[in-house]
Amino acid sequence: MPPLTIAKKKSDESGQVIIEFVIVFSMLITTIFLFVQMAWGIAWGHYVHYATFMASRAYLSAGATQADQFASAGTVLRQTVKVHGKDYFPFLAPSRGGGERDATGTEPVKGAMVGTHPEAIGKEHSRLYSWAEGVQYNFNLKLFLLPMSKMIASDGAGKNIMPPGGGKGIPWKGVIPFTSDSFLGREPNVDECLQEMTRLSTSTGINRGDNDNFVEDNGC
Amino acid sequence: MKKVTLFRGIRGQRGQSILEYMLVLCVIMSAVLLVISLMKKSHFFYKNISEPLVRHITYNYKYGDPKAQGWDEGSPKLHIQISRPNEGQTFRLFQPRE
Repeated sequence: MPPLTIAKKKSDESGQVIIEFVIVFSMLITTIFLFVQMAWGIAWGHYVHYATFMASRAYLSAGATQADQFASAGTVLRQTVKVHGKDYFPFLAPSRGGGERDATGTEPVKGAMVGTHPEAIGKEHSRLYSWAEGVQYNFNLKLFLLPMSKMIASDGAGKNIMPPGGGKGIPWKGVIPFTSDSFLGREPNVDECLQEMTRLSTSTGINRGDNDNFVEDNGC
Repeated sequence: MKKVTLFRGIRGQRGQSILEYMLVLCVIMSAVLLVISLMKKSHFFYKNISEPLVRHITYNYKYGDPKAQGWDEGSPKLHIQISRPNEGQTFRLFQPRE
């Protein structure tokens, strides 16, 4: 029996196939998961648009007070984009809350802004701004799962990505900042309706004091 | 019995292929690192991938048009609700003329 030497072991080609398989398979898996993550992110983006639309519908609908309308929108958002008060997919699309939101305002759930857009505050009675009440939801999306993803994401960190026509830029932090807007306006609630009908009643000299009848008559 | 000398060991050809492999690997790795450092220095990835991609996707997702902007960006344009219709035109979605 010939002696088994190290040199003989090295010249053996029996492991070549498995090494090539591992290399190719890892590349294949990376590519597959790149598309899986992209598809997942895009699907989540569409879903968030739907969620903000539903929340702004809830905000639009009449309630007893404006606080009820606000609470309804918050409830819809909590049920659609959060689970037990936390993000559905924090590893994929974490919410962007606080001062990092595009429009700052009341934040019933992290990443959201419910109410009048800051630009329209104080102009609620103008018909040019009356639509600007609704819901905005902000989240970041990681779209890179390439082998060089960290290097690509960190390149240019801290720079501002300017909009096509100038204006406020987007600080580049290695993630894509997504914002879903749905501003549908807001119907007058029962409180506001009563106030307005009472004012009209008084100003026209009718002077009806039975406010409940205004609502039953669908006065608003 | 033959004398085994150090000189004889060096002159042997065993290990030549692995040595050549290591040298070529060093050259290739150096070239790759040089290219990557040049790319990072010139912000190649940021200018060619991140910036155009983010600029397009962000506004396309938010307003349905990569060139549109709203109040959040400071200078609204191509925004169906914010922009006022031209004089003489009264049609606008959701938004009557004041």
